[in-house]
Amino acid sequence: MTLLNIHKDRVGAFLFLVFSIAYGIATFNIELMFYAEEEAFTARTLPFALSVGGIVASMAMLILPPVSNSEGKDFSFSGALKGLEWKKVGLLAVTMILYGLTIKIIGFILSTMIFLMAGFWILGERRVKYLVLISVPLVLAFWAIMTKLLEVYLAPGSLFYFLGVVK
Amino acid sequence: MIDGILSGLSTVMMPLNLLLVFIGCFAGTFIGMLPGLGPISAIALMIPITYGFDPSSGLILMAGVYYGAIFGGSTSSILINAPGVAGTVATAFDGYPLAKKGFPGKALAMAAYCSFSGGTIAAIFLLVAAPALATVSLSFQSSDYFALMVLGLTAVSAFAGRGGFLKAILMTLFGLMLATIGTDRSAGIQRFTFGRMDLVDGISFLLLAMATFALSEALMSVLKKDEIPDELKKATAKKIGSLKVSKAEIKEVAPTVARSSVLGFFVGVLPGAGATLASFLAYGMERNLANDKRKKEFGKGSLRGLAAPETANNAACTGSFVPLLTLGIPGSGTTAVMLGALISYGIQPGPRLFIDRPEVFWSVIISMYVGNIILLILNLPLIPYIARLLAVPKQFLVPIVLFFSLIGVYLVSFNTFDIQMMVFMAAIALLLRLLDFPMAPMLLGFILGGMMEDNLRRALAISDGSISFLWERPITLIILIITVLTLLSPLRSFFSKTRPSK
Repeated sequence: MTLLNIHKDRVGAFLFLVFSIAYGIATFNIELMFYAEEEAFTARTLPFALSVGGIVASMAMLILPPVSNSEGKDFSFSGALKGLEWKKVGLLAVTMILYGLTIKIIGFILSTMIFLMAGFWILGERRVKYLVLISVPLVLAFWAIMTKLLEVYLAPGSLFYFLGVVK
Repeated sequence: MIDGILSGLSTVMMPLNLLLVFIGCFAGTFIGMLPGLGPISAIALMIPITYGFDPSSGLILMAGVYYGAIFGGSTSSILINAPGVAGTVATAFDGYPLAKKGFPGKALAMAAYCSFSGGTIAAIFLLVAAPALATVSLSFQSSDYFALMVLGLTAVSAFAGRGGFLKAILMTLFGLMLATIGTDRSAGIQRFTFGRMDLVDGISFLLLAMATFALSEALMSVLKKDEIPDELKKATAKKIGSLKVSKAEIKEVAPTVARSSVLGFFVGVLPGAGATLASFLAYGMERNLANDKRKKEFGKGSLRGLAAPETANNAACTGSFVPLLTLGIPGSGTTAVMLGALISYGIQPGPRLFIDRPEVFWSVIISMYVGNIILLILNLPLIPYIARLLAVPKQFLVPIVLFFSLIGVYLVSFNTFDIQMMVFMAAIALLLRLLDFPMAPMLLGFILGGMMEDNLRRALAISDGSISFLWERPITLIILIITVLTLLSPLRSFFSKTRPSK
């Protein structure tokens, strides 16, 4: 039996067990004040209790038979991951990370336009006209509402300061 | 009380607030209509906008979004059999068959009238129940609050159903664990920050709500191939038909509406139960009460079958404000998001809210009436046009939702680390959703975590470090006994019905 054939409830329980143990170990790294020994409740108390609770609940889920077992339905971990659009979601995640990395460098307007166009493209839109006609007005309208109406300052991007375009 | 009602009324009737209720209802209807995006996402997406307003206006907007989202969920349930919200799943049982018979307009209008009636009747109950409970809860102490929070968190898990009980418990614990990240409020000690300055203040609730709901729901809709073709959405959006409902039909559903309103409100008040349970219970109750002839109509386009869940889910939404406004304890994921928003405005909901900020307390209650009226007189005629938005292709909608989620969080902190953190949290949420773990208990645990720890610490300090506070105060003891009973009921069912897997 491989990991992929295991019931997905058990995989979830196992992940929680590992997380709860790691969390529990990390609680010992919480530094305490010198007078903490005399206190009934310290910064470690609740995290430690939560870790124990997590270990007990995930162990119970691992040991007890899974409840979702309808006839003819696939409840395996591989079944939960099969036939999904992983590539598109992966690309969207990378795009979001890049958006986060570039927003301060090239500014809100440019980075958001690129982000939206990339998103539309990843999800199957190939017509350049639509890519531009939806993203550009949307971003400009949002920018205008934020800066002019709500008076939220959106910096132009450090690259433009570096190039001397904005002073 | 009359002074309070008048002050709430004057706050709600301010032009800006009326506009906000309208915008909230409209935006909520649209977002709720999109399959996959629920009221939690709708409200979370609105929070960054509300930071610019005073707390009353912000809450009024969010309350409008809440009703709008539930109403929007009904629309997609009826038109394309794709509930945008769990609370409207039962609406599709008879709403969709009625639409298929050629009466989508009638089904939508009936849903709107029932939502209005349910919401309005429940708002009257709220008007009476909330101040009464707020007065009683003034005598509550830290130990009682601690016990109440434990009850709230346990009840969410208990109502998760047989299969979901342990999963909900684990998700609640996960939320509580996430809440411990950052600086311990009492001792000033950093916990689980791993030396990162970005984590010193902990994870913001807005970030968590956006990442685990709006962002992950949008990504989930990409991950799972769309079961409803765009052509069907376009075709359905064009043919709404007449919105007229006859007097005889109104007479037929009137008793159903009355019963479901009462049931919905009380189920909504229970922590953890919420609109979904209320709608299913009301549907089941009406089917059981119907005579044999009427019973056969259920599932085939029965008006009563449509009216019951629609009334109950709106009444439950209103009912869920009772524990939030009076005890400061949210009973559902949606009210948990609202609690988070209130705290970020610097307002602590609870019995003191009724005394210290009566304008906030009453304006929310009054805004419920206004919201229901706006849904009926403005949203209903607009439904044929709003429904056309369903035809907007997913390739445009999803990136726009992702953008609003990311920028909503970024504009609060201007910290790009938050965007990376959101993607990370959304990835975890996506995996957990695929493994059928519920998200709402996690959010509830996260929001209540800090308060629960503070109250426990205070209760222990008052009782000199002894846990005797658990049984010394009668209120604490009673709440804890209810907690244990709540916990035992699904456990008993779990152990008695569990069968080994093949």
